[in-house]
Amino acid sequence: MDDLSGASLGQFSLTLIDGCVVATIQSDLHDEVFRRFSENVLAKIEQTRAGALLLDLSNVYVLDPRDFESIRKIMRMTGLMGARSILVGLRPGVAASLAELNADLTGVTAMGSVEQALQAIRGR
Amino acid sequence: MLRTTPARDQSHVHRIKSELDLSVALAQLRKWSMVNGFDAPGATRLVTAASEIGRNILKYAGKGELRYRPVAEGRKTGVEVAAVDQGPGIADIELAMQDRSSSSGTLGLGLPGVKRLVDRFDINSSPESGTHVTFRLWKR
Amino acid sequence: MTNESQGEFLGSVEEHLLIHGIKPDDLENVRKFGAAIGDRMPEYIRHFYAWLETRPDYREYFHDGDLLGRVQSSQIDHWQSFFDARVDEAYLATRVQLGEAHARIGLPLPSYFAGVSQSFVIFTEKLYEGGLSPEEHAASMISIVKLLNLDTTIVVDTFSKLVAEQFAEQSMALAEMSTPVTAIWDDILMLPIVGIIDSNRAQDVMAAVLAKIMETRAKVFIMDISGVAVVDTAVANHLIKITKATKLMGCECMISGLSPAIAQTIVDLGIETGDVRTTTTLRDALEVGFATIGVSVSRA
Repeated sequence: MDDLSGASLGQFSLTLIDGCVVATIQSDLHDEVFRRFSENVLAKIEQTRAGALLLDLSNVYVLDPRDFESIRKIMRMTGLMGARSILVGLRPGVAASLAELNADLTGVTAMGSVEQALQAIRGR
Repeated sequence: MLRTTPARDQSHVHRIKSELDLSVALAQLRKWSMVNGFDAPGATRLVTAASEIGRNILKYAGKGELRYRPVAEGRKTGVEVAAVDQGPGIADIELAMQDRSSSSGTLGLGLPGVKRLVDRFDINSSPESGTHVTFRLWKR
Repeated sequence: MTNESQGEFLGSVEEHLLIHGIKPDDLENVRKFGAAIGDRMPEYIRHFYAWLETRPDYREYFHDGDLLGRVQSSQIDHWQSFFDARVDEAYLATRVQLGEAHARIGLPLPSYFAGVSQSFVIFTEKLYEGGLSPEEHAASMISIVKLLNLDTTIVVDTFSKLVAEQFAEQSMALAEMSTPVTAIWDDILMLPIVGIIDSNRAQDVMAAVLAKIMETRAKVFIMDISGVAVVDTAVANHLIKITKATKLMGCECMISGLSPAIAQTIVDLGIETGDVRTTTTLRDALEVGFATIGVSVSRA
């Protein structure tokens, strides 16, 4: 396991596990954080030639539709770089509110935990 | 002298003030439709359409009535269902009857869908007299 | 429903007459009084509604003209049959029906009783203008009260029976609302939904399922709706939202138990189900579920 920093900001951390970039988000993704976050993530994917990005949201308790749109953008960018992306560990409250707001989930893959996601990727 | 035997008025009237009222009315409508010769798919169609228009009462007027009665037309026999409320009425019926196939999954009043489910569909609405939605469904 | 309820508790015509001490003479007295009112019968409606308009609950129950017209004509029929005083099964049946109608619109019993006693006043004081001897008049008053008692007994009896039935139905609907999400296999959750889905219940289901997914990290959730009473647009939207939420938690939701009739109504209603996986039977859903978690099932 290899800390890839960004963690100094306390808002997100990036870790490489089994050839996957695991991005753990610690707080709200308002515009400025989001830009830095996406730049960091995409750079790590390029550096490590990771095949997948796991977006770990298990510490996120509130996610509004705009935040979700931002996350979907990162997922699309990751896709353009040839890596797959998986949402991981969404909390029940967050999942319920996104569903209530009828968030568009086309093409979104989600998994319960980082372990499950890694297992699924290995299984391929 | 007075000779008339009272004609049995066969309409059923349910007051709808809550989702639970609507559920009870629909359960009784389903029973009624089975007893009165609707097949299972017909009953589903009937109860679903009644549910749509009954729900609009709750959504837009808060309370009202769901009524049903047996009807016949030539050889066809079936049921007439009406949702009647004293609510604000529908401002633009034409707009309400347009099929808004939205990706969000919300279908406005759901009335175009009801129209497709039933054999005859009628709507009257004004701010003074509220909204009357009526449909007929024939037995197959 | 009407036929059932009559058979269950409605005694014979003779029994009813006996209970209220109604003899052939009484019926004859009622008829005589009816004949004395004669053509003035339809005026009853005018008097009755003049009184009704003074009542606070009037608008609540008689707000539209169409219904009012039907109610009025059946009221005239009702009183005509009363003064015809031919108490037979058809007569009893119309009283049962009146009780049912009142129960369905939720007319309070005090309002009904007030209406009955007001009707008595209208017939005996407003519409009666003489024609009977004092003895005949006195006797007919007693007979009318007896027959009125017979009527109200049946109406109230039916009314309370139906209200009790509706209450039972409501309690049943509420009892069915528990949401036992069960892990039927490693990684597979199931919930059979029976009865009605309203917005409260949909929220309960959503909360229960998501909590269970969080707890078990299940990958498949099967929601069987074969016992759901109605799938209209609102219900379908609730179901779709549940599938979205479970998907976000990494759990694929399948909906089983879609009958052909429901499949048809969903499409006719124009409901977009998106990529929600649906099956006709629970068995099919289970097979898909096993395939998803990589378990192969074979017969021994």
